[in-house]
Parts: sequence; structure tokens; C-alpha cells
Amino acid sequence: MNKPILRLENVSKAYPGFALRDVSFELLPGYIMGLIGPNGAGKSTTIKLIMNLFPLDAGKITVFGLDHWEDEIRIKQQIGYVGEDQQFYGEMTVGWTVDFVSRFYANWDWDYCRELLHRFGLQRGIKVNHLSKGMEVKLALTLALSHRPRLLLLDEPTSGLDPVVRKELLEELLEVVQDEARSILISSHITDDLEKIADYITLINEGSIVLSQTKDYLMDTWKRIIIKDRQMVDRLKPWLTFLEPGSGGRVGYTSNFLELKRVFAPELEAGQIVRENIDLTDLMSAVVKGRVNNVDAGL
Amino acid sequence: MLTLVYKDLYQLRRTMLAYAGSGLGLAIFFSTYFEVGALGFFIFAVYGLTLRSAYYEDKYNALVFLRTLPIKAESIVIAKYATTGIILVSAWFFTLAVTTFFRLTGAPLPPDLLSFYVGATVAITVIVSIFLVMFFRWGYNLAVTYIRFVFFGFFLIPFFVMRLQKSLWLQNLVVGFKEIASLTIFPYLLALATVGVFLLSMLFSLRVYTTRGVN
Repeated sequence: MNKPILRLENVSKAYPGFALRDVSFELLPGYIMGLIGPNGAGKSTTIKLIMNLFPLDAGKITVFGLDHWEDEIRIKQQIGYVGEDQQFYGEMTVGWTVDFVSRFYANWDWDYCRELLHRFGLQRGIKVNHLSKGMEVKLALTLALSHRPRLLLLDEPTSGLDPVVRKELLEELLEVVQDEARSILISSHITDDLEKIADYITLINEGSIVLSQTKDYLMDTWKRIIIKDRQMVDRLKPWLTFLEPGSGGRVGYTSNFLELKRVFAPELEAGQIVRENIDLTDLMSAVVKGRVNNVDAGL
Repeated sequence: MLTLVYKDLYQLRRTMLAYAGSGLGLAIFFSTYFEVGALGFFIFAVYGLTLRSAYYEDKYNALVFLRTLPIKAESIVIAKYATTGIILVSAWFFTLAVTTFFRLTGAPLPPDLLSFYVGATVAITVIVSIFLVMFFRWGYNLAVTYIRFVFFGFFLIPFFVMRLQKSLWLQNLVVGFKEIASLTIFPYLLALATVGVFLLSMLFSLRVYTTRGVN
């Protein structure tokens, strides 16, 4: 069994009006974990805590088996970080920025850096504040990858990017994890992106982890159930997370389809209830709504 | 840490040149009269350059950027103080050199004027020390708002001294101060106290910056 590259244990952080409570999860080498959740759920806070941008209230974070507070510099030598908003010195050039950042990393790979600059069409002489949003993200990614990090932390890197740049960026990320020692933790609102690349999904809502599983497991167990026979609603309720009126009958979401399929096999076969696959957006929506409303909501 | 200091100085290169140019221009224009005006120039140059250096960090939210790199929070603070120290020393020598060079008599600066220079150095060191603590605690905007009161407050000190000269306790205070100032070791004590204020301010900044985090 591989040792986790990143482990969060009961991490808590409180601000006025917001609290991250007992967040625990781990990420294994060679995997991509998608961090999803509605706005203000605590995704960015979680990533910033891992980056040690502010202190924890409680809990423990270990990266590469090292304490993230005591071994901050050793850890950051092996982490690549891309934030939601890129923060570079705008009046400086791309070349100056790359040279400046490179001085802080012991294992900066200049050949790879030049290759990335070329691939992303970044010219050294251009000022950073003349770059488009997409080009800024590419510069951030170049800086995050050039020291060949073992862990990439990406906080909403694709927000505000056009589909072409997003695709390019995702392809680059997939290439990075070809080497099975590297891992990526990526938070995004754009769940389509995560569906393409993530191995694990962690859903965070109101400062707490709601679920953290492999994407394949979630896709197998979470289904949309269309209940055509109204008599079935009461019997199905214990299996449903959320229920609402739909055009073809009542529409519910289950997180336990494997069990439901076993119990309601005849009804599924008879078409009294129909199952549909869902995507991560539906899943997030069902979980968030399900936590807010009870199962009778919308009926 | 040296990389950070170099970065600060590189960012300030144009502003430094502008101050140096205007200092030379003023000296050429006012000649001997620049001796006193040079004090104001020196204070404004240090004040302006220190604020400019902090402004660059604020404008691009660079304190977050720096914290994402393998740099200790302590190094960021110490580097900023080192930059400010370099600004102070360079501005001091520059002002002194320019003033001496443009004296019509060609004689070195009289001790009285030199003591004014020392006083100005102490005042501006205290001001930038207070500013840096506020910058690391509350960020640039709040720090600038507060430091303006402190900065311009210093210019009001002579006014208040003149106004209050009639009061006995102030006269005693001035007499007492003069006695201390006449001591041979006074310049050394003053220099030591100034360095102490600067270092104490750095310790405060280290404390507030490493515990508050950046966002």
C-alpha cells in the first residue's frame, strides 16, 4: 500500500461567518483528487491551509509524511501551486518572473521550463500585466511545473478560461500524473473538467467533508431515480437523498444504487422506476439540496 | 533572502533614479540653501521609497505569491527591513554627499547642521519602523492611512514646542534634554536607540506577520 502524499486529519479553521470543521482526507501518489462544492464551501480555504498561507485552529496536515508547519520549506520545494487569481509582479516580464521564482527551487528544470514556455507560447520579454487571463494561468502552471513537483495544488485554475485553453491545461495535467509518483489536488466549479481527469472526488459543503470517494465508485452508486408509480414513493424514501417533482414522475437521487437495485429489481425491470446516470454537477446539487431539505422537499 | 532584497531594489530602481535626479536638481538650483532643504528631501525620499516598496507588494497581492514559494514568512519580513535599511543608508549618504559637494564655501558641513541630519535620520527611522509594523499587520492601505498622521505629526513637533515654551515643565524638559544631548556619548546612545527601535519594529512585524497569515 502506497503511503499518502497528502493527509489532512480533523483540520479546522474558523473565520467570522465561516468555519471549516474536522476536514479529513488523504491523497495517494499518482492520483488526481477533485475538490468540489458550492461557493463558500471551504475548498480554497482547505488548499490555502495546506499551503500554510494561514495557521490552523486544530488538526494536522502532513505532506510527503512531513508536518506542513515544521517542514514548510522542504514541502514547498516539492509542491506546485496555482491559485484562482494569479499574483505576480505585473510590471515585470515573464522572463524576470521565471528567473525570480527559479532561484527558490533546488531542482529547477530549465529545459522543461523552456519547453513549457515554448509550448504555452509565453515570450520572456512580455510584461506580466500584458498577459491575458489564460496566458497568466499558463505562466502560473509553468512556474508550478518547472521544478517537477510531487504534488500539484490547483485552486480553481480553469475558472474564467475558454474551452480551448481549459482542454490544453487538462491535457498537461494528465501528462504530469503519467509519472505515478505525482499527485494533483484540484478544486473547481467546472465539474466537467474533473469528470475528465479526477480519480477521487471530495465534496465539501458548509465547511465539512460530505463525501470522499473514487469517482468510479460515486458514478456507480449515485443514480437519478425516476419514480413513475406514485405508490412507490414511500417505499423508496429510505434509499433517497433528495426527491423532487419531475416531468416523467417524481425524481429522486440515491447514493446507494447497488442496494436499491437488489431490493427493487422487479420494479426496475417493469419500468415502474427508471434509473439514470448522473454527472458530478447533479451529484453536488443532490447532496447540497439533500442536506438543506428533507426528502419530502418539493412534493 | 538576498533574492528578495534584490527584487525590492530592482523594482525601486526607477523611483530611486527619480529621487536622485530631483535631489541633484534641487542641489544645483538652490546651491548653499539646499543644506537645510536637503533634510526635507532626505525624509521624503526615505518615506516615499519605503511606501513604494510596500505598495508593489500590495498592488499585486504579492505577499500571497511569495508565501506560495519555498520562502519562510520570516525571510519576507527581514528582507523588507533590509531593503528599508539600504534605502535609509543610501539616502543619507547621497544627501550628505550632494549637500557637501554643492556648498559654495567648499567647507565640510558644520556640526549643527550635521546634528540636524542625525535628528532627521532618527525621525524617519521611527516613522518607517511604525509603518512597516502596520503594513505587515493590516496591509498597505490601512498602514498608509495611519502613517500619514504620524508622518505629518512629526512636522508639528516644533510648532508645539514653540507654543508650549512658556510652560515650566516643558522648559525643564528642554533643559534636561539639552544636558543629555551635551553628553559625549549622546550621539552613540541616539544611534543605538534608533537601531533598537528599528529592530524592535522588525520583531513586532515578524510576530504579527507569521501569526496572521495571508489571504
